[in-house]
Amino acid sequence: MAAVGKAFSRALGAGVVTPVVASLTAIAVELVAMGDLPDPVATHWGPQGPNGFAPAWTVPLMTALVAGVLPLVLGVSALRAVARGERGFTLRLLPAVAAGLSVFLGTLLAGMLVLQRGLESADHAGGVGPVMLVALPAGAVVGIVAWLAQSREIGVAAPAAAVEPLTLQPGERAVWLGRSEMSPWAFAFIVAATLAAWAGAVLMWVGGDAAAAGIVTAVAVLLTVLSFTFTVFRVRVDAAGLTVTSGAGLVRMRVPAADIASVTVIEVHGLAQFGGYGIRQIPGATAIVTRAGRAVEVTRRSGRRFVVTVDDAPTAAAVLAAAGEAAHAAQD
Amino acid sequence: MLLRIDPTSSQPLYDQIAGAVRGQAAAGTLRDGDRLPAAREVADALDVNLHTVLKAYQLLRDEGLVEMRRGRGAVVSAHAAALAALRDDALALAARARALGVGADAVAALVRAAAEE
Repeated sequence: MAAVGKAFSRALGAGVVTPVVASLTAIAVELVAMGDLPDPVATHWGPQGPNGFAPAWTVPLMTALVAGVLPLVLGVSALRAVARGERGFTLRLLPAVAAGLSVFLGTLLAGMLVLQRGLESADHAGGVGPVMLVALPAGAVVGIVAWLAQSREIGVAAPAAAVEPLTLQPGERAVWLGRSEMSPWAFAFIVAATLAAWAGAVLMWVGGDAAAAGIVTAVAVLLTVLSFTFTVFRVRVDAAGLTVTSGAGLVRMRVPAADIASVTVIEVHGLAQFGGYGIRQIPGATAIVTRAGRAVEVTRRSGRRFVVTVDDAPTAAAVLAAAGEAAHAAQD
Repeated sequence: MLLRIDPTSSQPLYDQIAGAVRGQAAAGTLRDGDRLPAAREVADALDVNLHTVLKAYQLLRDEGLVEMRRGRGAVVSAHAAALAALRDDALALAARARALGVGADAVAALVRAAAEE
């Protein structure tokens, strides 16, 4: 329990406390500098000096978003898994990235305003080189320290639940048909993001330049294809083995019954074991992770594992184990 | 959704498939709004004729357990909750029949007669 407490407090420090302190400090510095700034201020620099300008008040807002909210999202997403007792590379990396990113962006944005104090016009703003020289190492050092401070434990996999093959009468056939789906909230988020990308694309075509519109449209198309392909999978267990087909049928994966060495039910938390959600390839395993929770895990004769998250994993696993046994019996 | 069929049984295959769906609705594993797999997928997996599966779905639709919705296929209706509510009574009746040495077919006939009165 002490180890869990320590890992959690370190992750909390790196992934939540650091971004909060860094972004609030940066915003405080920006607000102090605010009275003494040209309007608008320079916010973007090219090779010939400043080339992008915005009202000064947008900078603290930007700071809150990119140096505060964004790193916090990264940190909190890892923290929940750490609290459950999970460990792993990604869970060590996310809080460290959150800490480094918030310090880097906070320093950069605040330094950018401090440099412009007392200027008549933002056109006279010098280069951001000196700010970069401070912000980049500061972010890197904080990120590395946060990485080193994180728990170095390797994830302890929950013991796999053994599966009793379904008992079938001679001549009886059993199949299991189901789906591997995202949680409704995650799905709603993806649908919203896709719609937003399309709305952005339409706005760009109407008012923006063609190049940007082309890029946003491409992103929207990509998001649409991805959400059709990777948010829902049809899972089928029958005498032939396990078949997983993506929503639009673009991807199909199979484990033939004769290739099954063992079947178990495991608890999957995408981040710790597979580094994320979707179709995941890690050494020794392929996984289809649409949500956290129970999954069927098949070990092939080669030792490679195939994992798919499904509702009612115990039933699916029992049918699959029976199909594997039947295939082996037929071979002998 | 788990489907078990026995092609050597005297019970027609479509009846067995419908029975499996009914059983899971009664057990609460299939609920109002759940989507049944496409008939073609079921036919492929069980290695039976597509029309056998369509006939089973038709039967379930006539009973009101399944609704056919455009674009979504066969969807379990609110009727599933009614079946689930009867499940405990059915289990109790089956247990009592077993204790009295009355066979499943005789019980089914009794229930049918009682329902038609």
